Amino acid sequence: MSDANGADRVPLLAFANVSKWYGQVSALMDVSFAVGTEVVGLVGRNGAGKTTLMKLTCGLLRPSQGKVAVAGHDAGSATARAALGFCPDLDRLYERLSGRAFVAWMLRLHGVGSAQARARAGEVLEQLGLGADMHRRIGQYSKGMRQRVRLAQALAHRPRVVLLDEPMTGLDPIARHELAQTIAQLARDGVGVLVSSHVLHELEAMIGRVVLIHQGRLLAEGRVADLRGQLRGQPHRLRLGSERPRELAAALVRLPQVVGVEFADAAVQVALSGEPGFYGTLTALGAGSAGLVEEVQPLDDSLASVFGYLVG
Amino acid sequence: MTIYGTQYRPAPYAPTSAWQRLLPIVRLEFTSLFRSRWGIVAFCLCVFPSVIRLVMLLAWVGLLSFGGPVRRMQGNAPRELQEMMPEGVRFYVEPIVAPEHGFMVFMLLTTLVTARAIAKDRSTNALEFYWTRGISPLGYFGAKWLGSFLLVSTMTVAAPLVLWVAGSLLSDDWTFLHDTVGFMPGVVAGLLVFTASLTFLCILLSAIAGSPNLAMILWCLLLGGSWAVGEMVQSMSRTAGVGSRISLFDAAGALARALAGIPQRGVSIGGAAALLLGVAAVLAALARRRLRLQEAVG
Repeated sequence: MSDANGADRVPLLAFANVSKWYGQVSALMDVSFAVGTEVVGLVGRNGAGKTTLMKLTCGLLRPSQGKVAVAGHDAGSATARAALGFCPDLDRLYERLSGRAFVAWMLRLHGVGSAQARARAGEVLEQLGLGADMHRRIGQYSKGMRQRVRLAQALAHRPRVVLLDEPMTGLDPIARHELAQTIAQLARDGVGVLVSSHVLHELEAMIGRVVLIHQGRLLAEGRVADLRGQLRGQPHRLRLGSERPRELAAALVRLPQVVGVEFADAAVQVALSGEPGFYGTLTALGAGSAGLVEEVQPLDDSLASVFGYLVG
Repeated sequence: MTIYGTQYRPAPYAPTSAWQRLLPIVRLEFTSLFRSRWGIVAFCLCVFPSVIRLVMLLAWVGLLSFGGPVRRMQGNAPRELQEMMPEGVRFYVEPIVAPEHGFMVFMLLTTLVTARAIAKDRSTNALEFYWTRGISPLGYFGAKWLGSFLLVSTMTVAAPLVLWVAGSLLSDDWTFLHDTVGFMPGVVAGLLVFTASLTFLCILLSAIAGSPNLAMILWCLLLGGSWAVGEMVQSMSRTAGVGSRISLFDAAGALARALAGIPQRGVSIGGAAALLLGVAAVLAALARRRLRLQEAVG
């Protein structure tokens, strides 16, 4: 991999042909993907292998086969652990410590000196918007504030890779939006972020790429739109806003690419086969009669749709 | 290799010793009792017996007067009371290891601190934070035990030592120091073994339990239950020393007395050590399964 200047790049997190067996049970099978300076979503049903994948990244498990590297170092090595920040999903912390004391203490577990840890903890909590509340006990924090503390402890030692397990759980919409912005900013600043979440529409808003795991196998990897484009066997569904939906439906059913038409409020929902040429015809229809096609909205380009099509 | 933007600067890897990373855990555990109001109240309650002994010491050296220096009057006192005077070894050991004196303080302190130490982290999923930072289960366990041991030792080892130093400094002459300096190393060693062995068992139990409350109950049942059974068997069999083969507290006390040079009738030191080692082996086997790295994340 190389950047625009031609300088060499190493993936910040790399899975190379990784398999993991628990006795006779295979948890992961030949999984390969890489994470650069970007936000990548990790998606899969319960039991798909996400937790195993995270444990392998944290170095809590060793792969049965293949290699996991964090910032170029074997996962589980001291250098890899120093380069990794992990934000767990469980909302239980040391309630009696203040936010700053907790983050400072986490830093001390990395071997950072006491005074330096306190200063850095204050700095990172300030950056995450907890500057005014950092001296209050964690037990008095709201869910959003607690989530920030968890994120702060993952970022305080300035890792190269951040692993976020269900980071949006329990947050209100404003806090979710702010956290998504913070995560996106991390990637812009050069951190590799792997986010595991079940809330696909929220994940979609912040990620660049997605890694889909199903029954221990890597089902798909890439940008959501690209993945949808490759699903030729599945009909695309569009919502076409129109002043004259009946007239539009009559025109659409004559097209060979259209496999189904439904009426909605002042719109037509149409299912398309993978055959090309539909959008050209639609443009001609819209240009030929004012008000016939007012709005085109894809209904199944979302991560949830892609995930649904792939895992059935 | 250019992989980072201009704003964020990853920290360079700086190797640190395991001890440097475990020390915060030791400190957190040592100070755990002082982070809540009830913890401070409990600590003050535990200090109270030592304050009584300090009063005895001050009366003995004549700084507090109860009709004259106790030191000069003790010749007329019963033998049991004479043995409990500051110039005798029992003054420093028995208030800690004798069930009628030290049991409640020890039980209170270990139940509130040691029994909760690891179970609390498991129930709050804090183990994830340790394991993902490269803290090994053994290092974590050792640090938790050390922090808890140091805290309990403030009552069981430091308090008698402070009394002895105070007695030496407050005495009119060097006779007290001369008479007591010979047995003090044994006293300290005995009390250290007493505290270390029982806190070790307690923290093993904490590593097994799923919640701090369960750990506290199990510890009370194990320490209190074994002591009650030991007392019952001893009273039924009328055999001296049988309690030290059943009660964990009595067994640790027997080891402490032996190291301090206090004669014990009918007590088997080997039996007491075997009891403590046997219980420790069983608990350690169970705790080892519960403190695996795989127990964290998800």
